Amino acid sequence: MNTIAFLTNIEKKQFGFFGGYLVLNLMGQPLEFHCTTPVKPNRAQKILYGPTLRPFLFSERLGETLVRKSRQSADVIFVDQPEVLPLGAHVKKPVVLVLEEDDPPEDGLIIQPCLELFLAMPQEDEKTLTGITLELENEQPGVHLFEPFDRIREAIGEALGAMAPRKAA
Amino acid sequence: MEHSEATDIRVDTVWNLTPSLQKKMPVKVRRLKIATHQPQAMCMQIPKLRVGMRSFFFSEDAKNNPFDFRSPEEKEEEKENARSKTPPQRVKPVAPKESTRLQPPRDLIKLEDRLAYLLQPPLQSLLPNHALTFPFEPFPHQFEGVAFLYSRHSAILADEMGLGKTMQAITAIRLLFRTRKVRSVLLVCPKPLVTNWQREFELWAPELPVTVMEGNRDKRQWLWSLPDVPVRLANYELMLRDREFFELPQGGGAAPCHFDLCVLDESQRIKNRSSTTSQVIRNISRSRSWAMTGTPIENSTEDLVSICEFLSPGLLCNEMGTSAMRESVSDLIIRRQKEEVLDMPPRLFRDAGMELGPHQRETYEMAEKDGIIRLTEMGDTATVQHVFELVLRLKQICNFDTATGESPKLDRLKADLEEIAKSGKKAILFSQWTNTIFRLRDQLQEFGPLEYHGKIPSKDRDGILDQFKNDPDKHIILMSYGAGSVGLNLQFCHYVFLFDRWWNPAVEDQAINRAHRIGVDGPVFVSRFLMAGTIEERIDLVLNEKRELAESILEGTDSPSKVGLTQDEVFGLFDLKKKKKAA
Repeated sequence: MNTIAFLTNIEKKQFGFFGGYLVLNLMGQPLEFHCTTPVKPNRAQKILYGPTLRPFLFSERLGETLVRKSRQSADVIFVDQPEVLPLGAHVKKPVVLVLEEDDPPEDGLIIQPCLELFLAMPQEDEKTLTGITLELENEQPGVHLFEPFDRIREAIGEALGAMAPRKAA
Repeated sequence: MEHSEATDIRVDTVWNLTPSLQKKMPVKVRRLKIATHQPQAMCMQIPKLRVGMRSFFFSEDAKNNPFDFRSPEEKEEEKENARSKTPPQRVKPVAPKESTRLQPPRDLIKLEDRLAYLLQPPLQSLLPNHALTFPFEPFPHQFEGVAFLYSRHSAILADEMGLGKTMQAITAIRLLFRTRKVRSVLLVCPKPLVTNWQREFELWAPELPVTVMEGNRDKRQWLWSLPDVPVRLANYELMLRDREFFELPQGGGAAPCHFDLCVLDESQRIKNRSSTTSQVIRNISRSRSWAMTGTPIENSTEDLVSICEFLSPGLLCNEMGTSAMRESVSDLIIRRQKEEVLDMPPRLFRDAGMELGPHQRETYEMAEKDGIIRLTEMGDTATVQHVFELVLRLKQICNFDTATGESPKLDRLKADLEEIAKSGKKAILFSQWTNTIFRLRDQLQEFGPLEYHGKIPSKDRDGILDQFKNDPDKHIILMSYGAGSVGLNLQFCHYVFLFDRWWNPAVEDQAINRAHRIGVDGPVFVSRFLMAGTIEERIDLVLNEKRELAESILEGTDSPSKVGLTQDEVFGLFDLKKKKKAA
């Protein structure tokens, strides 16, 4: 394991959804950062997609676009939203949900403890998850698996702030 | 449309039915066509959600990565580990809640540059993972201070005393060296603090060699001319003498000696913009400028303006209002107070207002009346110095009646000390005058008083402090504001007495903070002695206004009602008016 990536999405009422993708080395230092422009589904899309809107947006639209743009191929992608888990099927990479507690947010997930946190993947990926857990415990990356999501959120905020004056002008 | 037809219906004959039932029954069937509406389909196009992207790439290569904190040894070790396939040892990362990350300064414009700061790992993980270890774990506010300084070319570290400014500055310097952002640092401090800085560098940055600028002129010239000196440590007085070795030439051009970073400790030393010290310091050839002070505003906003002239010339001017000033320095200054960042016991102020004794009142009123008459007679020739003379005389009478020695302050002090001594606690007393300290020493013998002031030789001072700390019979130490307000750790004391008041609230705070600092194990009771209806009460009002002024700019509270102790206010202490400026 050489590089790990973190992907999260945020919603800003005024603008819509943003995705952010951060690739790190095992010391936690940034190698790449990608963020999307805001995506705002209209009313028809909201009605028609219904409860599948967020998984579709987070995985197929924002997530896939972000991962495909990356130059570095991360060994594993960590996410903090269960809606992003379907991304794994699209990008052919293990996508692992990081949890603070041993409490699955939805059915059909398998959970394993790792580095004082919990990792979750769909049940059919149990073997992959076990492999990742063992490798992480062995490598002991210099990064707390929840911390980089804060960096992404802050960086998206910064990028948004940088865009705002241009928009006003 | 309607349609009908006749249909034969055959009924099987059943032998036991009556004949009438065997008759044929005519049945008519009508077929009706139902008119139906043709369904209409509507096609709705779901627009594809388009996603735009911005990408940022960061180099791992040391040459192109301004945040590569690896030491040369570490890089070698990494190569060796890669060859032998040994997994590197990493420090356990900290949870996000406890972490401090670098923040870009406001004047950094490019988004790429700003993100490079924001996306770095927290200092708590970053530093130990790069063998930047500490003798003991820094407090979260110290990490925050390091992050603030590291990313700024101009900064004021204005933490309240006792919060570890020295450690924060040294660690930030250490990081700048690691990332090759600086190669030569000049640190200027008051002379008595030079050895303290040396010690602190050894403790917090043992890998950084520190050169103290000292010796005769030839030696100093040689020291200034040496290339590749990482840290130079000089005192303010020496900077005046050696200006030719580092000053920017008046006609332009390069200075003989340039520093990547110049740090001023106790930067209130340059609060007077027109002083030679200020001018010389401002003329140091440098790329980054940091100032450290617990009291960026001692007397008036001019103090801060002068410090900012060193950091960022033109940023502030005296004519600016407090809110404009606050806004201008908001990204330049970091200031935390102990109550905010440490779980420290409180400082409890007990303003002890007292009445003058009858003899004392008589002496006081006579002195005040005579003084005012004299000042009035002097008219326009009266200067601030003349007024000060009167103030000092009256303040001394407030301590002790000159004729009888009567002193309600002493009586109150004795009463308090009895309780303190009984409980085995210790107290510090501050006074402006050594004469007052001598009188108190004689009167407080039962409490084992010790003295610490300008008349005590330097070589004896450490011994006195040790005795005070360790001798259970020594319950009070009598200090002068000047000698006892900086650089002492007396956190084993729980009582502070301000027997008379200093002109400047910042100096009083420094004095109180000798006891109220990291390590104190209970509340610190501060008694400020004040004689009602006297000059002390009037000065107290001015001091409070000054404190408000500092708070309004540094803490963002409401505007102060007044600014500083002006010449008019000094005269105003006696209802005198200054008609024109004294010669």
